[in-house]
Amino acid sequence: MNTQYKKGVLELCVLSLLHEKDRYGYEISETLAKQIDIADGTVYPILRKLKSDGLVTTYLSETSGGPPRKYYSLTNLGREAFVSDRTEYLKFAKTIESILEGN
Amino acid sequence: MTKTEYLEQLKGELLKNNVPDADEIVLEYEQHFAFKLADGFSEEEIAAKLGTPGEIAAQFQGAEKTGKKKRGIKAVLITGLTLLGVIEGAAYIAFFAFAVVLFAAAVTSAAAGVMLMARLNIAGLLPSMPYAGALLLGVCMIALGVLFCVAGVYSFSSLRQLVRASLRWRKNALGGALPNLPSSPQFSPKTRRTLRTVLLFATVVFGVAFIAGFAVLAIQAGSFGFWHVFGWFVR
Repeated sequence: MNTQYKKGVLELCVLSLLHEKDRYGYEISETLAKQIDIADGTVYPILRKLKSDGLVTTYLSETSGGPPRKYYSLTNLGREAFVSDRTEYLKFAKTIESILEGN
Repeated sequence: MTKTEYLEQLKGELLKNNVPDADEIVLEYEQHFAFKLADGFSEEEIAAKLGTPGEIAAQFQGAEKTGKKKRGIKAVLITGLTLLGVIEGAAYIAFFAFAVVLFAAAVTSAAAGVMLMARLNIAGLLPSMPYAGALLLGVCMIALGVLFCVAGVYSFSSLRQLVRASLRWRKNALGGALPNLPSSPQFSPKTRRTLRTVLLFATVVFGVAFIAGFAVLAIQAGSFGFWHVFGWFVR
């Protein structure tokens, strides 16, 4: 599948995963890489962008036997952005689907 | 490519692209290696799946950049927003004063109500009238106080939401991409229900107590213009 499509929706996917619960970077990267064909390294720049946009925050959490994990958590802004972007995307996807299936 | 090579190259590319916090980013990729190694992948496999350091660094550069070219437009925009902000600010201050007045009216009405009901004629503020009428008018004044108070709460919430919406709109105008906020006050369903109930209840109490008080005083004075009989407004 064309990588141009994926780029745009990856952000939304990351927000969706974080909307469920707080996760650490590797967890997000693995969850997405398992379902979508992307290079493993692509998720970290997205997390970085979301953080600089103020949609997510990070905190460190100690783990037994290993370095502390950097967890990502949605901010209120992030939650708002997710809810509105999600609705918008689903509507868009539905339109595209009906156009593509019409032909 | 080994882990060390990959991380070194990544750091080099990040620094070359002027990406801030290169160390922190490299640390995140180091952890990625650690997790994958624990799952039994080799360093070469992991590095291959990550994407080349050049590609990754380029993506980080995209993540940080926020429109350098538009600086001129931005200056004009900021000036415009500032001028608009002065006018907006004045309107908000007026609105704030209005809300404060509403609360002051609420306190005054409630105090007058309590004075009427408790026969506390402090400083001769209250006109003379039979106690039955005073009691009903007291209830009426307290209900009026509650109405003012609800109006005050609505005004304050509206003001707060207006300011928030305006700030969000400004942020978006300057290149943010957050959803705009509605400009009407956003109460939780529970608060909204409570406010509505209080409003309805206070309105009914106000109306009933006012009419009853008027009727009682009119009957006792034997005149609809009972204030003439009781000698109000006469010095």
